[in-house]
Amino acid sequence: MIMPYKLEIDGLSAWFDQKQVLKKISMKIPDKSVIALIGPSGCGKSTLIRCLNRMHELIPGARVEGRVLLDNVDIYDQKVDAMEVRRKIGMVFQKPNPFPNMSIVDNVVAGLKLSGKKNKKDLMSIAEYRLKSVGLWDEVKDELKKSGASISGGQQQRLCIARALAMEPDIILMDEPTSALDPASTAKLEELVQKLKSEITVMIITHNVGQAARVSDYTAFIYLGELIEFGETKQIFESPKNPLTERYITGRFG
Amino acid sequence: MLAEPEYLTEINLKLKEMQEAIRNIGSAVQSALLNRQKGTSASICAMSQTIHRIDEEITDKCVEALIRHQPFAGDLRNITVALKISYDLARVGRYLYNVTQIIDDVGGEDCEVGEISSMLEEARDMIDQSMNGYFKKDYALAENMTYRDDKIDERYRQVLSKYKEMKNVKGECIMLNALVARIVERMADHACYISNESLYLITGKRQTIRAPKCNER
Repeated sequence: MIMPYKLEIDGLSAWFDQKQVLKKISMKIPDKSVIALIGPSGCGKSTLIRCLNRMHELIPGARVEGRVLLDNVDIYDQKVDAMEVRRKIGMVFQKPNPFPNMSIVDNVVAGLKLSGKKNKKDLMSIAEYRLKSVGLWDEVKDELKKSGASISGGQQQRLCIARALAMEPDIILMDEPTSALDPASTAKLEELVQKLKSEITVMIITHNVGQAARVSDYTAFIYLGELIEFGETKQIFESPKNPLTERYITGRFG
Repeated sequence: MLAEPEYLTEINLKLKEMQEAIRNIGSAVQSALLNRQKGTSASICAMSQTIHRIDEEITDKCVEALIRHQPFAGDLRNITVALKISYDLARVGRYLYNVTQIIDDVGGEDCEVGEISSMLEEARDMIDQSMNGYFKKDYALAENMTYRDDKIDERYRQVLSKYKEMKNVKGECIMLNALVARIVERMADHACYISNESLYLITGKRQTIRAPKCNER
């Protein structure tokens, strides 16, 4: 059976207590693509991606309605294990968060160790492979035992991506991954995002519309909890259909 | 309608300057043609050079806007459209200069020029109206230009047919009419291109009007 979409969001709404923060969002996300989520602060972008790997439900008073289908299986189905969902849909946060008391290598394989992988040779081999796939290996190969927190911010962020990749996810969600990085580190991370899509689907939240235009294949514009427009990035940035999208990406409001 | 960013206002002021320069040069060329007045090409060339200089200034401003402001959507379309329109106007300036070169080279004091002069007047108005359509983002005005261009194309073919079949007519009159009619036909094409850029600016949908129609005859 052909799976045309990796992820299908169907009428997704979310609340914090009584406050509705997402309103019936529906999107079909193709496999092996980069999707940028843009919109003003507080519009619901972060809540949306937290709903996609069931992190939203960890907040007291938070609630979700609608369906999120990963490979045609609803991740909110009662039979589905939330931990397994989070393994398949990894997350990289705004600020790099390596485990400071672990070495660079241990950071990469921390999740694997937790899930029961013990063979040191295998773990080292996976760490090397993942550090290479995020372009970090040559920069850190002589100091693998140093703390994950001892490297630069940009390197830490790529280390966190290597850690997420080690779990062999289908999708990685990135919440403003370059907001704390300098231009050179940002460029490296953007290059990495492009590379990653040969393997997995990436959803990236960014406030930098230029970055959305550079790295993504599809762009979704969210405003006040509603999906205003979703389409191919070229179309959204050249000829958006909705005047609100036009106003946002041309800097008329934020 | 969205407020225009300052860099687009500056670019549009330059395009207005070009439009005004084309009006002036067009008026001078029209007079030179009607009077078959030799020796005007030097002054018209200087005016045409001014238009080229403004074209270069617009290119610089557009490049700067792309680098500094990274425009998107309507603003991005407007930059690409301004670049093309500026080039179209520079070409029109060059064509007007070419008309005076032909008058200088061919002469044609006794030649009938009523039709080509009328065509030139129409093409000048088309350029002017296409620019007005751009500034006002007037869809109807821009859309009408294709129709007017078709009429000019038809008149160009009629001029060629007429002089091809005419007997006892001076060679210089054939040359003057055929060459000027061809130039005017090209000017009208550029009016059409400008209008199509306006349509793209307004709708966001590209048309392939600049590509040659290989089987149009």
